[in-house]
Amino acid sequence: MGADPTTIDPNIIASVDILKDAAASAIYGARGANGVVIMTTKEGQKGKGQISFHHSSSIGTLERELKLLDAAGALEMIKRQYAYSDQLPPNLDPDNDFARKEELFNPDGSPKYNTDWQKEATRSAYSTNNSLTFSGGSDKLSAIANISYKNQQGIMLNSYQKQINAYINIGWDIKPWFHLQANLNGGAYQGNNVELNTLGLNAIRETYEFLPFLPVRYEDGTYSRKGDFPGAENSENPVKLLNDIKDIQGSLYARSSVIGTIHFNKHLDFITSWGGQFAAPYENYYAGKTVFSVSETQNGVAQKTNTTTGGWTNEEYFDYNNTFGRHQLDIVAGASWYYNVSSMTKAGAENFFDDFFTYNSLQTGTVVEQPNSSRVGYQLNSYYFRPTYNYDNRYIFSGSLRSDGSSRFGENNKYGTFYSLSGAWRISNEQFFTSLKSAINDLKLRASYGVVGNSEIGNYATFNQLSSAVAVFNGTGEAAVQLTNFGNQDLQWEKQNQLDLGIDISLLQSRIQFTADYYSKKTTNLLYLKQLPSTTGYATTWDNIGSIRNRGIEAAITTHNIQTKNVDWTTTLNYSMNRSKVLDINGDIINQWAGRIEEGRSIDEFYGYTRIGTWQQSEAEAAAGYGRKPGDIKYLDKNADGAINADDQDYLGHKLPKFELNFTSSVRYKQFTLFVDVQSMQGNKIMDFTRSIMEGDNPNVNSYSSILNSWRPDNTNTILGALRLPSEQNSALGTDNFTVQDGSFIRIRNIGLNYAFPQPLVNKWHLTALSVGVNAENYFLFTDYTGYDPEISSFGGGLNQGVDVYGYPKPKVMAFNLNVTF
Amino acid sequence: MNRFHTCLLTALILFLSAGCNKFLEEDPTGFIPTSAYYKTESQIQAAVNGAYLGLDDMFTSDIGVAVSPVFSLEYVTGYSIRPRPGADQPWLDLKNLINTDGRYQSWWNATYYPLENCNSAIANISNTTIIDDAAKNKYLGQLYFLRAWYYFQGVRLFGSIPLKTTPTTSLSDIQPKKASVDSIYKQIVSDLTQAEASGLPWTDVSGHASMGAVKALLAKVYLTMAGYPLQKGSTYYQKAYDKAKEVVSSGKFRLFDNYADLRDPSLQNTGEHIFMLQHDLQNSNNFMHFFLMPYPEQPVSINYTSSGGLAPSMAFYDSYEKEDLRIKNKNFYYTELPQYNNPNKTIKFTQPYIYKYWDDAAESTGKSGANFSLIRYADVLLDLAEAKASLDGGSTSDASALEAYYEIHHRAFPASGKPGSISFDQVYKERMWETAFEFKTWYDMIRTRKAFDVKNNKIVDLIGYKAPTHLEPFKQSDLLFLIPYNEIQKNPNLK
Repeated sequence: MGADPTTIDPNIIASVDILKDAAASAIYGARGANGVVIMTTKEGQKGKGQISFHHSSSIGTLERELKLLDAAGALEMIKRQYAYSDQLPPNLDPDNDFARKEELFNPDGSPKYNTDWQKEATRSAYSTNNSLTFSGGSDKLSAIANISYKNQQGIMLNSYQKQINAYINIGWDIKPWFHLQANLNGGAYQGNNVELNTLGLNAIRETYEFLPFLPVRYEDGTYSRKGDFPGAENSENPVKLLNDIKDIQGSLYARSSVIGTIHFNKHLDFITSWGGQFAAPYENYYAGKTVFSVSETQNGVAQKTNTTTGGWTNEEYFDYNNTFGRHQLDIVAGASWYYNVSSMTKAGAENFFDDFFTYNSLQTGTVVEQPNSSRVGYQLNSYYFRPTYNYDNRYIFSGSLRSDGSSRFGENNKYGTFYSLSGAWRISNEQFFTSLKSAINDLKLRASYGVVGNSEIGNYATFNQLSSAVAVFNGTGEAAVQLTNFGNQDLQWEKQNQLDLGIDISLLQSRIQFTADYYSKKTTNLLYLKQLPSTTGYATTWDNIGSIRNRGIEAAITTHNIQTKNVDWTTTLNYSMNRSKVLDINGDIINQWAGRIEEGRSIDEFYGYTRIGTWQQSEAEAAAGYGRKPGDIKYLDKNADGAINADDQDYLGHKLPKFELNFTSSVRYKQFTLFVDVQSMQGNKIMDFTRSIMEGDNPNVNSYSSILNSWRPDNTNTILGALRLPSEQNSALGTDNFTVQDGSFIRIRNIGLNYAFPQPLVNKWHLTALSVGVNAENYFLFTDYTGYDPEISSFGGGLNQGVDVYGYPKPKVMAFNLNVTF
Repeated sequence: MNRFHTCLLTALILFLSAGCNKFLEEDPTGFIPTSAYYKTESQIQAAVNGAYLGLDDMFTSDIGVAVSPVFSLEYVTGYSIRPRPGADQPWLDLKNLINTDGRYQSWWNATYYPLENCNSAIANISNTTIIDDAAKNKYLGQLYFLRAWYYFQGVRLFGSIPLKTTPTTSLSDIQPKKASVDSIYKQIVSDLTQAEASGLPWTDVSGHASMGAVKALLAKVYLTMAGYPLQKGSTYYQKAYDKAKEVVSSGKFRLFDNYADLRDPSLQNTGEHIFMLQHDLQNSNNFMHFFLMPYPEQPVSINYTSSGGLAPSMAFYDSYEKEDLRIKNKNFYYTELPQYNNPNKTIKFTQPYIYKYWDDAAESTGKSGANFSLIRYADVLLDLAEAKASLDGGSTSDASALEAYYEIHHRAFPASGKPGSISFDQVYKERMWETAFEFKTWYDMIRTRKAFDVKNNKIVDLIGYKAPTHLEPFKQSDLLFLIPYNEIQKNPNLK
């Protein structure tokens, strides 16, 4: 029921099922439109009681270092920048006596410091994870209880994540005609978010960009600032940002449900399910008194944001089940209601006389920030009918008809009607198949078609909204309202029409299992934040803008290569590919971060200019025609109109991979098990925004070491423009084929070795099971991508994926595991 | 199944099928939907106040240090520099500007987003019956003034643009065609004429639009219509002259005696300040004090590191005559300042910086709530003098024009005597010096098609003049901002 997966301890998950086809997701209605991941939590088992304990300790370190300029390299870059204008850089210019010159440079201009900021801003991160589970049951009652605690450090200084969680699930046959299932999951988590302000001068970005000839701290104890070197962009150093800003984000949460099943007779059940959810996420922020461009002018900033979100669900349905000879019929019919309301309060203060209080004493700040509060709510309601018919376990048909309602749509469009049909033919159960059964023990063909609705548009999108603001008149704030949303009354349910064809084969007594699916999903009435011409007075509004199609194949093969008493070897290979196409968006062009969406194209394409080299001295005249000089980047004049402008842009590749391949293999030799998990994506492109700044031609920050390959009269075969001062125009135009890189990779996500103690020994110790193991996560990565992580997405998911803006470094982790069952 | 079960089952079926019709109703509490708005006078007042917020839309800070989209309007004149490099270089160079440049989009949005608020408020308030006509007209008068303000900004910068005077109500007709420049000016004049008849007071210390602001703006509109691009000539110079004269002869405004008074918080919204962008410390800070400080950074204020956004080019600064009080240290500019918290130590700069927006209080508080003058009485006086000089064929000896010019000139040169006649060139030069770095110069340059050749101390044709900081002379194609690429994509009618 819409649980946040981070609030569930992995040790209490019994199974995870990913539902892809429409028929499966139809069961979950609107909330399953984007696919359904079903996590079934464990239930207590009747029989002998069990106590199991899981522990892991790990150490994480930086997976790979970016190749950044060192002090000498950075000074060489800067020297060349000044040379472009026939000037000397500040460290070599005897007339430039900037404040920290003698502390930073020797008399000959060479640097005194050579700081590796990636080392200074990161650390070895220690983490521990513990989980204790009790389970068992008697004739009428089964129960499971779990408590878990994890404490994880992040590799950036001061980053961490902690969580404590408790779970209890009870099943009780109270009466012969009544079964009760009750569960409760609750806990708290907290972390320090160091990845604030993606596009701003945050700690991660400064780790990339801070000048290496500056120290973390000077001898007088003060932190260096980038602007200590004249001409550099001024900003705080990453170590100070990590030490002096806290952004503690966390939540308390609880979720419970009580499900009663009434057995009217052996064919008819009535199920009534009541659930409640509560979460209280919070954010506590404090930036110290002296953090430049963050809190220095305010002399310390403290903010506390508290949100409470509450919701309840109620579902009531009948389940009728009967078998007539070879005919088996199952009918489910019912209704569900979901209600959610969330309210937020934020307060802040500035101007603190001391950093001691942080966010715990807002009244200490003498300047009060405008407080803020809000409340939003939404409701869903569904009615459904789902018959399933099974003939002799050979022919299986199921259907679904449902009416889904969402409060988010306008008066006349609240409800949408959706359906699905599916059929399966288990050929291996046919008479004529008997002779083949020894070779092919299972063969099943599947087909389904269905329509699912989607209502993910945020709340109140159908209202014209006047939002409150403050207008100042003669030094006093007065009430004011401004239009902030164009209410689109015509909004209606998005429809996802999906066809799925599949086959499952099992050969040689299941030694080889193969499953493959083809799907074609056409989304119509696509809900999208339409970009409006500004003349409307609005930037965007939700609209049903058209239709897109996704088609793909997913296949998996599992082979049990060896199955003997001492040796077990299993291998699984997963393959998937997806292709999208925009069928109709009213001829609009939708601009994304460095991408664009156009009819007839795929939805995931980057768009920009094409770099074809650099202008050479012999081409000075032609370059001047484009307003360029020798040493500037040369772009393709696609329409040959003698000017480079937006019309010369073109598609630069796909964000989504051509295909993904995952390989897992597990070998057991006696008590030892070796496990490997390899993941690979091929053909995906990444827009590395970082590169457009750190390999630009007029930097005022540190850069990738490759920048020294920029154009010079004696180094002409390059696509990097001649280095120049920031007061000269950057000859790069933003997104181009240089900033869009190939993100293909092969990553060995995990190599694990596990040892299970022999059973006689375990029994002697009065245990049920005991195993220890080590895991190496993310230790091997094969890629040409130059950023930290080819699996990056700086802007969450959605259509802006594949954009790397000073991406967060990924750790490689070495972990030790212990599992004991009493 | 026994009878009890049957009863239970029946009850459940009834419960389920009854449902509840109101379950899916939305109940927003964080905003008032427009359909439920305009029911009280307080709501009307808040909507009118909201229309003022757009005046501040360009005065936002952008990524980087001391970067603001509004500076583009000064960089483009070629008289200013950006001491801290790393932003807006094509604007500073007047070279390689393309229609994907974000500044164009900012100006476009700062025109049309506020306009929608004006249109919506005008449409709704016009229909209301909850207040009497006198009160209603005062609200509408402010809105007409503001709508004229935003359209005047848009039409001067971009030329022919869509004209829309009603709020957006559906998505079916959102690709308007460009309207002629003439028709946009007609609308502006019509709005301002309505505002004139709305019964607004001559002055308003609260900072809301006043009759003085309406008439001053209308004078400027007429003056612009007389010049480029409409070139309506003498009729409109006459109108501009008459309108400016109404403001002057109202006796409600005056030039301050000292330049320092322009920055005096106790004199805001009075005297020389006819209409101001309003700020305060709590809700709306002004970054000018900080962004205009020296770069490389010098400790002249408690916070001095967000500096270097805008400064005069040396060539422009040198165009002032030596005895001009405006260049006396700490009037319009400064070349030296005492160190913050150490008044005995003076820091001298190799380059002049702008002092017009220096906020004495912000020096020690690190925050500025200073207003920013949008219509200044000095500007009206210059409009009056310029209109008359143009009307009379390039120079005039009209007493009001002479007086207007002399008031401003005399403040800068107290020893000077009143001239017997003044030329357009004289007035224009005075304007360049007087209203420099107030984000007005570009409008003057494109409306007159004249530039101040600061090196040779004379007024020249704009086209062909290479301004001090530009890489190339002005061309015809530089006179209008480019319609943003994204807007053309969303509305091909803008091509």
